[in-house]
Amino acid sequence: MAAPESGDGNNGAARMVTLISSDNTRFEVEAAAASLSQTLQLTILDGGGGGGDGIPLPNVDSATLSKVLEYCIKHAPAAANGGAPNATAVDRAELERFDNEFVNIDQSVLYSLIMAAHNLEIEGLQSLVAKKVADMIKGKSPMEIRRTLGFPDPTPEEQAEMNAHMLEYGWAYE
Amino acid sequence: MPPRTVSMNTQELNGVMEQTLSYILQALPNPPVSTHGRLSALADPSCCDGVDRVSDLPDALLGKIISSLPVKDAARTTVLSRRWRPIWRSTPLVLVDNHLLPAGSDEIPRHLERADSTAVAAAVSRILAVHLGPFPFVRLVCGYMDDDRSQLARWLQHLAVKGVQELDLVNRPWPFRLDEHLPATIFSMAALTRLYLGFWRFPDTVSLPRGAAFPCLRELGFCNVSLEPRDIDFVLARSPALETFHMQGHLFFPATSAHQPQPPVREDLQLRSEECRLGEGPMSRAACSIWQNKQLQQYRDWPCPRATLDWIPRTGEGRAAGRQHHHQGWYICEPKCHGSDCQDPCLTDGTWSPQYRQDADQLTQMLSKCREAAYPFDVQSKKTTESSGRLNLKFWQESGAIECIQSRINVMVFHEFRGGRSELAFLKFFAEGARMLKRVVIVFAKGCLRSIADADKVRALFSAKEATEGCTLVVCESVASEDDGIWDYHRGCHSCYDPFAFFCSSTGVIPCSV
Repeated sequence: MAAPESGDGNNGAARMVTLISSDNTRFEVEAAAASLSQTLQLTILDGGGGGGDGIPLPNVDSATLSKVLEYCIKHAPAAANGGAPNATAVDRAELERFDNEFVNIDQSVLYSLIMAAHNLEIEGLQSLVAKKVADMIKGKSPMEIRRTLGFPDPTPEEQAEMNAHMLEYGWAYE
Repeated sequence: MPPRTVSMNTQELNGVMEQTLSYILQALPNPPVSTHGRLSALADPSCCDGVDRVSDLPDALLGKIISSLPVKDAARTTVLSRRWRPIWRSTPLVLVDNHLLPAGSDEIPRHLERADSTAVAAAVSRILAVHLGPFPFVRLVCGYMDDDRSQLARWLQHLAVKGVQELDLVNRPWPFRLDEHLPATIFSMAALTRLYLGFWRFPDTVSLPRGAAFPCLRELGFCNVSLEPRDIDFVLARSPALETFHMQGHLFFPATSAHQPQPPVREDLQLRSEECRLGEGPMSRAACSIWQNKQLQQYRDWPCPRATLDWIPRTGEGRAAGRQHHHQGWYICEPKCHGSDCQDPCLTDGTWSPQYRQDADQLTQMLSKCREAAYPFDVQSKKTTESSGRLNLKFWQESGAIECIQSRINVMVFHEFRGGRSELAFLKFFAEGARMLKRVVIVFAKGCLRSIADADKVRALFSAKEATEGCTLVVCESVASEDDGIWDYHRGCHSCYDPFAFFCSSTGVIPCSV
């Protein structure tokens, strides 16, 4: 592993932590990347996750966790700069390109991802997935949204309720 | 100098106002949501696999999704199911009123039909009434808000009570009149972190309660707001967290007298100009006079890291503040480049063009009055179809400005240079005479720097003379055409360079050291 560029100035090599998914897969990552998670950050600050211990994450399966960590590793350097006010336009464009491709995935993965981000308190990832879902339903009618999100067709009763409700929020359909 | 009065008819005034509005809109930051689905441009491989997974998410996450939607789309989610129905109302609201227009785009129209504006206003009223808050971002820029003052008062009340954090409030006071104050309710918006006001008459701060304050306000923008120097004092003194202060233009009215208890604002707005010359925008007068009356000088030591003052003719004071407090961040964002930087308060401010005889005469007069030790100096050429007369080297040599140029001018920036004969004559005169000159920036007008030979022609003028030893010459081309306006608030606000410097960094630069 290359020496950390930023870090907290603690001698040389980056500190690594081990995370254990619900299906018992072990992932070793830099503490700086894992610390994008507010939940993990506390444990890591307390000295957890080092050595052979590992931090168990019973709510996150290995497929999802590897995806989450992919995001964290990519975003860690910018986060270390404190939101990166000094980041160059190139860096920002690169992150944006990464984010665009990162969420170009099946809905099933998308929802496990946002749940994991929610549990691990990774703000940026939650927002990114929320934006992706929002983009899927922008500009659509309620019926189209229902179909996009995989809702079953409404019963006649539900349909009547929807119609009444649409009248109440008429301005949203003009 | 007697006051000069500029009179405009309604149509001219509306044109000016719409133009000014577009400057205000440019200063506003991008809202956090867009009608444009950037991420959905990509394929949605499993968009319709018929499995409802989104319903497994907790309300907090559904709220995050809804907060990422423009307001119409967000409100439509209330129809989806009983589960979704109550969520929108209690999810942090991002309200951008141009998203409520029939076209519903991110573009804010300069011209807006009254019927559309009324429909938007009705929807805004409903949203603000029904939504429980909080309001992290509200932008109201589509309203002819003077048409219904009680509605405006209700909006502000809702915004204050439900905790608005970022607020853009831009009025469209057409036909132009600003005789009523903005309600002082804005001072009860304790959660505000960013506030931009456009086209308002600021509340009279004299009558405000002592506790009125913006405890969390970090960014404040006054865009063509009519206010008194004491109001600026008041606001700055009561905004302890302020980091960025943006002041763009200013509405100026003739001083009210006992005979005129009402500010004489009429359709044929009278603009009195003591400081400015014809040909400038009408919006910057009072800011200029505040500046020139040295009211703003006291803020030089004020610990705000960024302050931008747009459309304020750059007088000596402005420049001096910009230079001396560079590290603290007094950045003067330039609407265009003004000619005078003399600190002598009797001198007028304006754009000097060496092609016009009248300008040249005034310029020489002005230069001959300069008494300070060192000046930066800006020149801007104007497009001209007139004959340039006889503004040759001899004219300049005989003009009497030589003393100042020889011993006082240390920086010269020549904007919109086109390489014409009179321009070259002026430059030659300058190069030969200016002994104090440390830095010269020649900014060619867009499209006028065609080859390296053009740059060499300029360089040759300066390389010949001993007078300019130790002087840096930068030749570059402007990115913007003269009509675009070269000023840019965001660039000014976030720049950490000398305002002159962006020409070098953002244009196709051909730096040539002498």
